[in-house]
Amino acid sequence: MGQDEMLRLLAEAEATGMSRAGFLQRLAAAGLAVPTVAGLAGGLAGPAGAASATKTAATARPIPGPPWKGGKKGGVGSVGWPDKTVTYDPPLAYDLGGYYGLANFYRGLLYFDAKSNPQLDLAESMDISSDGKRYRFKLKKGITFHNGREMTAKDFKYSLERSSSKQIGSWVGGFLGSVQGHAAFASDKAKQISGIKAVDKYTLELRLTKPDVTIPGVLAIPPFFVLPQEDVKRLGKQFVSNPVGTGPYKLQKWDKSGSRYQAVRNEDYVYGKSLPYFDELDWQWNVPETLEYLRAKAGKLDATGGNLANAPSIVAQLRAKKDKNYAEWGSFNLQWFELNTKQKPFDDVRVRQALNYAVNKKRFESLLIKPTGHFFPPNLLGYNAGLDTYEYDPEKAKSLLKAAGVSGLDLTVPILGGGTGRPEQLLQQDLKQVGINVKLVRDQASVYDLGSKLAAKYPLWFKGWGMGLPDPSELVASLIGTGAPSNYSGWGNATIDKLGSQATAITNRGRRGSVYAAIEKQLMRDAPFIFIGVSTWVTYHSDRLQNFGWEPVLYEHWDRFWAR
Amino acid sequence: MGRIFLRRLGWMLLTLVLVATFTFFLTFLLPRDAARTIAGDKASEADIALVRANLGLDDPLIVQYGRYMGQLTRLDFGYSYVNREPVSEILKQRLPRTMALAFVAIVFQLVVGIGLGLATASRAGGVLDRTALSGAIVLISLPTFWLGLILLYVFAFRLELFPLGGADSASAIVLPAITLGIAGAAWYSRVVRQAATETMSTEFVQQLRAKGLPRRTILYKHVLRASMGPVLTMMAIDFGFFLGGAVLVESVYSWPGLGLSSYQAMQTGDTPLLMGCVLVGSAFVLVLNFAADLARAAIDPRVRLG
Amino acid sequence: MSVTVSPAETYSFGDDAEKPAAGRRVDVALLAGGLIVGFFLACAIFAPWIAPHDPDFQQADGLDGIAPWSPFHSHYLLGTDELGRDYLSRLIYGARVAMLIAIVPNALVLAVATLVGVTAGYAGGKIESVLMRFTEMAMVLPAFLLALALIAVAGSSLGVVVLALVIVSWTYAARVVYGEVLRIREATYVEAARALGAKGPRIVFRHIIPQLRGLLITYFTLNAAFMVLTEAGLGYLGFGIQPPTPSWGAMIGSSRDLLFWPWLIILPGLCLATLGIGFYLLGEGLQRRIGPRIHGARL
Repeated sequence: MGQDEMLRLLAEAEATGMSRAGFLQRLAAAGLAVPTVAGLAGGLAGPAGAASATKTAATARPIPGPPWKGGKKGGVGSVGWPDKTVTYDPPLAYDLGGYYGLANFYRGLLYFDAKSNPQLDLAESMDISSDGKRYRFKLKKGITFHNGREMTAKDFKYSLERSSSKQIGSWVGGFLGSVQGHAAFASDKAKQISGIKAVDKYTLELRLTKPDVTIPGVLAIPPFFVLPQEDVKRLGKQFVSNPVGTGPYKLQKWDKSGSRYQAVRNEDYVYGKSLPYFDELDWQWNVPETLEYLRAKAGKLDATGGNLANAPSIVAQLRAKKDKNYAEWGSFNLQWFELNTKQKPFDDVRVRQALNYAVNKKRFESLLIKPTGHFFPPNLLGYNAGLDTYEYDPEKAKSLLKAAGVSGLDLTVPILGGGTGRPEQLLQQDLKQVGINVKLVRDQASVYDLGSKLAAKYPLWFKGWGMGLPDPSELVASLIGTGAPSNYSGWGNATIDKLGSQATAITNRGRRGSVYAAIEKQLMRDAPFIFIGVSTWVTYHSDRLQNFGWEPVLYEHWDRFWAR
Repeated sequence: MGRIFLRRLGWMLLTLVLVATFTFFLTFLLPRDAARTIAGDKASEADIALVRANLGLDDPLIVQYGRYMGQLTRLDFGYSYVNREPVSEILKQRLPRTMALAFVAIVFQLVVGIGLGLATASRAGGVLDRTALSGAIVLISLPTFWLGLILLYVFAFRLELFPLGGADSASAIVLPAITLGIAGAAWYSRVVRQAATETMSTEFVQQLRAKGLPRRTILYKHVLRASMGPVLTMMAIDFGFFLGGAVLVESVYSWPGLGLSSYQAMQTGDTPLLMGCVLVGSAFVLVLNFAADLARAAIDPRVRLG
Repeated sequence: MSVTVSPAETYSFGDDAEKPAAGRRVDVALLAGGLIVGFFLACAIFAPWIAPHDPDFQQADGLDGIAPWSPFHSHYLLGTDELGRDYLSRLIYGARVAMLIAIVPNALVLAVATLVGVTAGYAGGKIESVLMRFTEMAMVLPAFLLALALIAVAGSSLGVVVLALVIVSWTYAARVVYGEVLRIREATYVEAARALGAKGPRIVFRHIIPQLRGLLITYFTLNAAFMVLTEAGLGYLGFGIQPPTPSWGAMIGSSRDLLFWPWLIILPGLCLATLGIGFYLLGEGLQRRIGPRIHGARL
């Protein structure tokens, strides 16, 4: 009873950007017992400003993540993936089947729910100091790794440092950059990160150099899930194919030549009384999307792992038949054209804006891209549906080009990395209508292969980015900050940089959101990109699969699906 | 005999060395940077530079070449960082797949080609003959990958008689093998038919017929033997084609063999794997060529083995 | 290495039984082949006049939702592709690429093959040995893969694709030419010319090469199909002529994941197959007319 009421209030608090103090007051007013900090942290991303650390008390905690109730245990769940999986080492896993399978074997301090908010998982409680610079986690007791040993705070120190190490060279190496001692560790000057402390067996502390509200989110992504040191050392290079963690499943068999793995239920899983439902998981690789669909339809697979949007003729059929086993989801995979702002005439903002008016974004729907015209994906903090985006207006484009003194422009645009070439061809036709001639060339290298060399070769290129951390700080840190590692446009904006660095310290969600909204507004005005939208993710599952869901951070949560 | 064998072996090794050298320098120029692929999309320039240094990608070309050739003498094909396992492991998984495919395709070619060739030769001018001729012309002219897609579409997608690609079940080999072998089967059937018709009209065979030997025996003993010569010659040329055809067929069916491996390796800039595939594939072709020549020499003593 | 081709084998297995019966003037194969090739050649030349739409233009009404129009369901006769372009027009313009590929790299291959084959066949001795060994070594290389690698390295411009095609097929042509030169070399009049004191190059140009004419024409025809099909294979994998220029192979390749719209795959394949059959029939007819029989060529 009280639980439902609290959840309702929680939802309301989220929607209105209420502070934690305010929420506590509402609860008290509703006559509900004040929950522990632990229960709250799940509902609000980041604590509210003034509240000080409260005492912890053990209560029955909800299982973090998407809804899970009502299933029955038993059976084998099977999924197909279009590529093969190379590694299951958390900081290194990168491919589709690999990265999105990590949550089966490993878990960490926090875990994302269906709304992309981090909730407590292996941590029993999270206390944040009033200045926001100290995070103290109390771990649940009695949680064991697949090898039988109990998990301790030392394991977390080891895992977090390993993922940040130069030796591993992970893409998340810099994510704990605000932790004290990270810089020294990352440049090999120190052997450990001084700001990560295993205070006692069950207490982990993170000390930051400055307040950083993204920390809970960072700790909830798989690269920072916990590993047992002795097994990592013992297995060495073999660790990539022998995951040992605290997750709901244990690896039983990895058949490289048969391209599949089998996992069995971890009976000692922390929520083992309830989850996972399936006794076993059967993951098959190198199954092209078309085949995934056909097998799921025939009941030989329980769900597709890959994106059926890559087989658009199937999606068209599913839409027409209104098949109940198919669904389309909004992803956090951005799609846009990045412009080389150092090359004439793209150094003139009018020209860049003209390009945005010239492109009919709606036509990209045939590529199963949702043409929002934004940069931020819908549902991300800071996404403002009311933002003024560039409508399709070729006349306006022509007049802007004229005003900027551009006439008869010839461009060479690449089709990069084995892509279909379809977005580029759509662009080519739209630009032709406003007097810009595009010649297409194929370049086997991908956007990220070429990286900073792109600007030397091409005036613009199509780019996709799948967000790893569901937080707008990732976009600033990687894509739009001045000199950000994946910002190849040569553009930067000092205002955005300043707002971006301030925003990582703002604890009030609502306020933080509006700062990022302001960032996107500025980005839109500067137009270093031709904004298109986000890709749609299409799934299909078998008749017997229940509680299927897909969310943009960890995709499919196989510990909570079951078969009828 | 032994000397010829040794000389042949010597040539094969020399060829492989040249193949390795040529491919090495060509793949070195591939635009995809393995270091970037390994470090991942979100890595910074500094991280990528570190990975490059770790892999020894910054060393001069000659040094890398020397290192590679040295490794080859120990049958060490290097380490595929993209796949995170030694290349020889990957080759061990992939080569048997391609060999199986080639083997089944060759058996299919021979059985259908020779069978049809003999059948149409003995009933020259009949309905079967004319149909087989038209069929052969069509099959030789089809693009292999298109045929593959059509077979996939009809028999796997619509009729669901075979799996839609992959190599998971035994029946998965049928469609790719047919695709790979059918043009050859058509070709062989024509060649065999011609050889058979010619042989059957020779005096020697006429005499056998006059003696009253049943047609069957003549057909199988003499005619067949005479036809094998050209078939084997063509097979030798065919093996080279197989590797190229394998890339397309394996691509269409997602058959996890050397061809698909090479294509993927090229796309991901996985140079060690690409080199390994090319070398092993070439060795495969060389060995098959030699075997075909031996077979041919056994059948036709006039033939000289270079 | 393969068996040294003995001269006796360069002639064989001609379908003598299929020579037109005495009195029959028309060779069906030659006629049918000629008509087919002629048809596609006409498509290629007259494309701008016969194609109903611009093949590269993504029509505003070219899509029905996210799906293209299938053939005979709209005013686009053979339907549209996944970007809404008229498929009939694309198929017609695709003949341009096909014909270009059938002619240009083909001629280059024959030029290289003649150079190598004649030099080896005529010079004899060490040169012959080295050249033919080299040719045989080159035959072992997985040529298609190397063509892919070449295009990956040098980009997929027309010149590079042509070069890649030449690399893939010159070895087979060289062997065939070489075999033929061996046969010609033995002919008496060459001996006679030598005996009369004619010098090497003169013999080559005045006696040998003219004798090759028949072979070259016939091989050109048969090889045309191989060139077109190989480029289609390259295009299928995305390594051929670049979009939006329509090339039948690339059209098939880009429709690989669109199995529910099968006309996108079937129609260009039919064009390729028909053109292939046309070249084959034409080549067969020519072999009978102007000979000689081509053996040892897997086309």
